[in-house]
This record gives sequence, C-alpha cells and structure tokens, in this order.
Amino acid sequence: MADFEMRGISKSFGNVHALVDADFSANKGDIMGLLGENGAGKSTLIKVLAGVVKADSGEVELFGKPVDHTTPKAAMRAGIRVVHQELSLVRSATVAENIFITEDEKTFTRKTLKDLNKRAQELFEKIDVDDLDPSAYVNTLPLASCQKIEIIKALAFDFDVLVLDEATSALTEKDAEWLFNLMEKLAAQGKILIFISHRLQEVNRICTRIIVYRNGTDVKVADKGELSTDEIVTEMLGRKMSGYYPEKENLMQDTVVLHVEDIRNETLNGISFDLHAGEILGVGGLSGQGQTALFEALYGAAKYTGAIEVGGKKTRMTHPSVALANGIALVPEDRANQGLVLPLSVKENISLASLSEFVKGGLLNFKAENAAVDEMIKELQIKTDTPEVPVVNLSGGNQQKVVLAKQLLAKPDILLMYDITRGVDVGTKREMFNLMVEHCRKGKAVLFFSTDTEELTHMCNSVYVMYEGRFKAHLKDDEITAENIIRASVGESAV
Amino acid sequence: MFKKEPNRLPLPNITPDGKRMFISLIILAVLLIATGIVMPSMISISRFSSITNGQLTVLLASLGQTLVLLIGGIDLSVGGVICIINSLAAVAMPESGLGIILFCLGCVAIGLAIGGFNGFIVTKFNVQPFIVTFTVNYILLGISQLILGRDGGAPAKAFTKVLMASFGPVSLGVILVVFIIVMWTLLRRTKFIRDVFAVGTNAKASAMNGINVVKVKLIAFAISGGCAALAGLWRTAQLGSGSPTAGNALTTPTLTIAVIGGTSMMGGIGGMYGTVVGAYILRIISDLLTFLGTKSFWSTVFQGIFLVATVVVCSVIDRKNRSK
Repeated sequence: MADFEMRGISKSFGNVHALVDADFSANKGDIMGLLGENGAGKSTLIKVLAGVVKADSGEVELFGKPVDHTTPKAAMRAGIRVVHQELSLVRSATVAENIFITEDEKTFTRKTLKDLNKRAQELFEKIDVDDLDPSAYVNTLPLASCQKIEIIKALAFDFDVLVLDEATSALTEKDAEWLFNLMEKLAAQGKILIFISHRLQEVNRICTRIIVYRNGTDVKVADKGELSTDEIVTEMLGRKMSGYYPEKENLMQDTVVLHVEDIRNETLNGISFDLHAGEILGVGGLSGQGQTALFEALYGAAKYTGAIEVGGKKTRMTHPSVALANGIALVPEDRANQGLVLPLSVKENISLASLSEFVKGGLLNFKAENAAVDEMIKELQIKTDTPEVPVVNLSGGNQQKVVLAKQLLAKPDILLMYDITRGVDVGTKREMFNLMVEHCRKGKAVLFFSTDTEELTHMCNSVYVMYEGRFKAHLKDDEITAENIIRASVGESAV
Repeated sequence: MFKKEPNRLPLPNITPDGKRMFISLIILAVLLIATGIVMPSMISISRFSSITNGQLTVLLASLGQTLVLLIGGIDLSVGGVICIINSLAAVAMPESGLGIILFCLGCVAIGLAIGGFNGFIVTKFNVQPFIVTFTVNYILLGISQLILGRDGGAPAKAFTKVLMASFGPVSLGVILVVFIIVMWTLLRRTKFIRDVFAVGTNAKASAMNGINVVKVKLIAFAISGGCAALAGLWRTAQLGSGSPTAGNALTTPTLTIAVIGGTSMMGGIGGMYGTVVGAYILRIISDLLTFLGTKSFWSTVFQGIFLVATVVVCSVIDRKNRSK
C-alpha cells in the first residue's frame, strides 16, 4: 500500500458526476503530476482532499491512517497543504502576517509583529527566498510575488502532502525555477508533492510520476518518461461519444464581418483575427487562457485597447448596448448571473435585449412582444408552461435556450457563443448546433468557444487555440483535430 | 408543455409581486371590517377623502421610495426633501397664479436635482445608497433650518385653496390617487419600468443585455427626489404652514408603506398599487389604535411589529417561489 491513498472518491453536483470512483496514490518523495482536460475532475479531487468539498463516498489515508478532511482546518492539521490557483491573501496585511495567518488564533495574538517578521525571515532563509520583505504590505506587491507568498504560506508549518494547483501560472520564470528546486528539495526530504499544471513541459520536467484523469476518474498512471507527449495527450482526450453533430458544410463567404486587430488588456496579449460571413470560427484552449476576456471585450463588457471593425466600420465597444446596436450578441459564460434575470419570467427575459423594438408611442406593445416571444419559444422548443413562468423554474437546458432566444431576438449578425453546451443535455446540444448552422446559412457568423474539443472539430471552419492570452495556433481544414487542439492548449505546437 | 393560448394575466410580472399585493389587500380588508365593527361612522366617502388628503404627503414620497427600492436602492433623504420644500413654500411662494405654478415647478426641479445628486454619487463612486442618502438628508435638514428658523409661515392662499378643493364629498386628493393608479398602469408598459425591474433583480445581467444600468438608477433616484418635493408641496397646502422638521418623521413610514405594499427591500419586486394600499393600511392602523384609546407611542410599536410581520411573510413567499 502506498503512503498516501485516496480510494473510491465519488462526488456529484446535481446530475453532474464530477468524480466517479476515483483513485489516487503516491509515496514519500514522489512528485505526482495530475493531468486532465477541463472538467476531468482534478480540481474537485483536490477540493475534496483540502476539505473544501465533501465527497459523496471514498476514503483518504496517509501512512495507513484515515485522514480527517471534513473541513479545511482539519485537513491542514492532518498535514495536508494546498496552494490553490485563486489567491487568498489578505491584501491589507503584511507578507509575514499572511504567511502565518493559518496559525491558531490563540498563539497568534501573543506574537508581536516584529516576532512574525523574524520568523518569516528565518523561513525565507530556509527556502532560499531573498526577494521578499516580510514587513511589506501585500497590496503593494505584483501578482507574481503574491503567488509566491501563497506558496510560502503553505510551507510555514509542518506538512506531509503539498498540492500545487496551477501554482506556476502567474510566477516569473525565475520564481518558477525557484519553485522547482524547492519541490525537488522537499521530495528529497520525503514529502509527498502533487503538481497540477496545464504546461506539459513543466510536468515532464519536474514530476517523477504522472496520473491522468478523464471524465471524473483516473485512467492512467505512468512513471517519468514512460509516456510521450502524444501519448499523454491521447490519454487526456480519450474517446468520446459523438454523432449528434450536424454534417459539416462550408457556408463561409469572403466578406469579413468582424475584423479584430491587436486587442489587449490585462488578460489579452494581442489578439487579431477576421470573422467571415457564414463562418463558425472556433476558439479553443483550456479555460482561463483569456477566452472570457476576449468575448467580453468584443461585447463591450471589458476594457481593451486595439481596433474592432464591424462590417468594415470601426467601432469602439464601450458597453454591451453598443455591441447589440452593431449586431453583436453574446451567450455568456455565466448563464445565471450574466445571461438571465432568473426571477423574471421567460417572456421578460426573452425580450430583455430587444425591448426597444416593441415600444410604440412610448408604451410597450404587449401584443407584438408576446407574438415575438411565442415564436421564439416555438422555434427553439423551449419547454415552459406559459411564457409568464419565472426562468428560474426551468431546467438548465431550457434556461440556456432562453438565453439563446433572447440573443436571437436581437437579430444579431455575429453571435458570440461562450461554452453554450455546459450543463446541457445531448438533445439540446444537437438543437443548438443545428441552430448555429442555420444562423450561418443566413450569411451571419458565429464565434464559438468550447472547452469540449470534439465540438470544435465538428462545428468549426477554423479554430484558434488560446494560450496565456494569445492565439497559440490557428488550425484549418485537416489540421482541426482534437489532438492538435489539446497539444496547442498545453503550449505544445500542433503537428 | 407550452400551451398554444396561454392564459395571460393583464399585468406583466404579476407572479411574485401579485401575491405580495394580495396579502396587503387582505390586510386592508380585515382592517376595514374591524373599523366597520368598532367605529361604523368612519366608513364614509367624506371620511375616505379626509384620510386620503392626510396620507397623500407620505404616499407621494412613498411612490419615489418604491421606485428606488425596486432598483435595489434605498432613499433616506425623502424626509429632508420634504423639509426643504415645505420650508421654502411657506416663506417664498408668490401670490400670483402663474407665480405659484412656476414656483411649484421650481420645487419639483429642486427635488429632481437632489435625487439626481444622490443617484450620481451612488453610481459614479459606487457608494452604498444607504450612506449617501442618509448623509444628504442631514445636509437638507440643515438647509431647511436656514430657510425657516421655526414652524410657521404661510403659502399663497390660492395654492391651499386649489389643492384642498373638493368635488362634493370627493377631495382632489382622491382624484390624485386615482391618477397615480392610472399612471402606474401606463408606466408598467414602458421600457423604463421594465428596465427598473431587471436592474433591481440583477444589475450585472441587465448590463450584459444592453441596459444602461447607471442611467436607470440615476433616473430612479431623481424621480424619488421629485416625488418627495411633491410631497413637500402637498404637506404645505394641507397644513397651510411650514416646518423645517416636517419630513423628519416621514422617511421611515415611506419604507413601511412600500414594504407593507409588497415591495421588496432587495429590489426587483413590488409596485405602486401595493404602495397605495400600504399608505391606507398604515393610516387605518393608527386610527384604530387611537380609537381604542391607546397612547400614541403604541401606534409606533404596532406599526413596527406590523412591518416585521409583513417582511417575514413576504420572505417566506419568496422562498417558496424560489424552491418551486
């Protein structure tokens, strides 16, 4: 039996099975690379271990003894440290205060600030940190330093298992190097390290073993160098259900409807592309590579520099109303908080983005509005008792259809679709894909982001893969394969 | 499944606030029956007219309050606006007909400007409406004292005479209440009010759907100021004098009335029909308590208990609606 084991972990969120009988094991001195696509269950597994999420079933053992991971505090006491991707620093406190924040309050109150600074300095010396001042306030430091503090925080107290969840994404190259040296040192001391990264190069370099997750369970364990990059990608991808995609046809025309040039902001590092009439242009990549920022910038919901031309006319997207007026509609990432006003009725939601169309003499023409809404409900086969039902009472798939109906009613020339099939059943997916094709048949265009590579390969005329805020690859025709998309997603070049 | 000919209700979005208003109508009916039993002489058109005239001050301010609550805000400066306008009208109103009209328009403009200022600070600097309007209220109270040192003064005679006019037993106040109900029925059919409900329910989603959230909020606050100014003018006509502290005790009742009428303090649910009903409920409660010989502070205690009870009931209804 291994020193550290997670056995038979299952976890469902409603109908979504995030983890299905998943296993994980590691020995002292291991640096385990945990790999998988979006939604493969990596994050949920770590959250279960850290006591953030309660598993439906399964057990965790460390050195043969069961681990209490019912709360984050309990998991910490059991010797488990997790560096999460999201920063959790108290920005108005000093570096030293943040590092020792997990210390029990009783002892904390007795320590003076000076004492904390001294202890932080001692810790820094132990782990070769020379570019941080313990008394500096966190809100004066750059993002890279914050992530470094987040890592140091985990090292402040004794532990047996250290999890680094995408901990290198914001680090500078020098700091990443520091982290890798530190990891090797810790492993040599007999600690167990779990490393999650979307950068395959890093995983290949630092990890002694890898474990691949797919569809909520572990599918492959391998020693360092046992698998080639290609083989790892194949394991991550697996074989998936398909067959509900419309037949691929080329409806693309020569007219450019949307010309984007060198869009930049905090997340985007210079994005340029052309979208043609009748085209379904795919955007791929792991989530969090700037896709949200790109879609929001195009829709006027995020600030940017650079140029956007709609139908040859230069347009500054300052507000979603500007985008809508220029024929650009967005099916957003967060259906519940951005796409819909949940407590309002199906009807009110569907007409929300095009209400001014129904104003006659200052008053709303209910008859015209109802007719338009009824037509959309029929066209998209939205299942609702009456149009007056609050949207919140509808199923996820039907809610997504209401979002689509709303955006289609605004009669856009360009549809921005952000991961529209998330949490949607297969039947609804098929309807949505058909709708996309019909939209393009009318000479309109679609920009389509999906975390599901299969969808991109079946639906798109060409695919841009995003990686760290820029387009890493532009795949056309035969190049649009799941393998190529995944490769580019993890920073490798396409074949 | 979706039926071909759905049974459409006459009002949009009747579902949650309709139920809430139903409750306030039941409360009103119970209170009227109680009144009919203990003091039958109170049930008459002339009595209704006088109650209406008496409550119209707070009702007008409550209308603006309701609108601000609908966008998810709160306006604690309505009392201050009433003070300022009441003081101003008591000392500076001209006697000529045209002068009176212009003066009244000026007062409404002042109210709109104060409300607009609230809205500007709230939206531009992203400050809590509670804090902005609470502090602005202090400024207004101070200015009122500058305008009118102590209770007194008198508005133009013609002004009082016109507003306190009566057509048989029906007072102008009653006609104004009918006008308010008709206006709200029409307003419910505008894009602006639909946007108000959307913004109050989910400002972020509203912005993502092209609604100018800042504009909607700003207008709502401005209208609240305007309504409070109208309330101040009505108060002047009704009492025939001014008081720099006239509105002090009116801010809380505007919230009570809106909430009893089914408007949610969380935004996005409610409406003016309920607010009209709420104004009458509040008045009948205090009349009943007076009749039963309770000391006046008991009236405040009961109003408070009533408010808490209404909020609890509405919250329970909301939770049921959500879990469905």
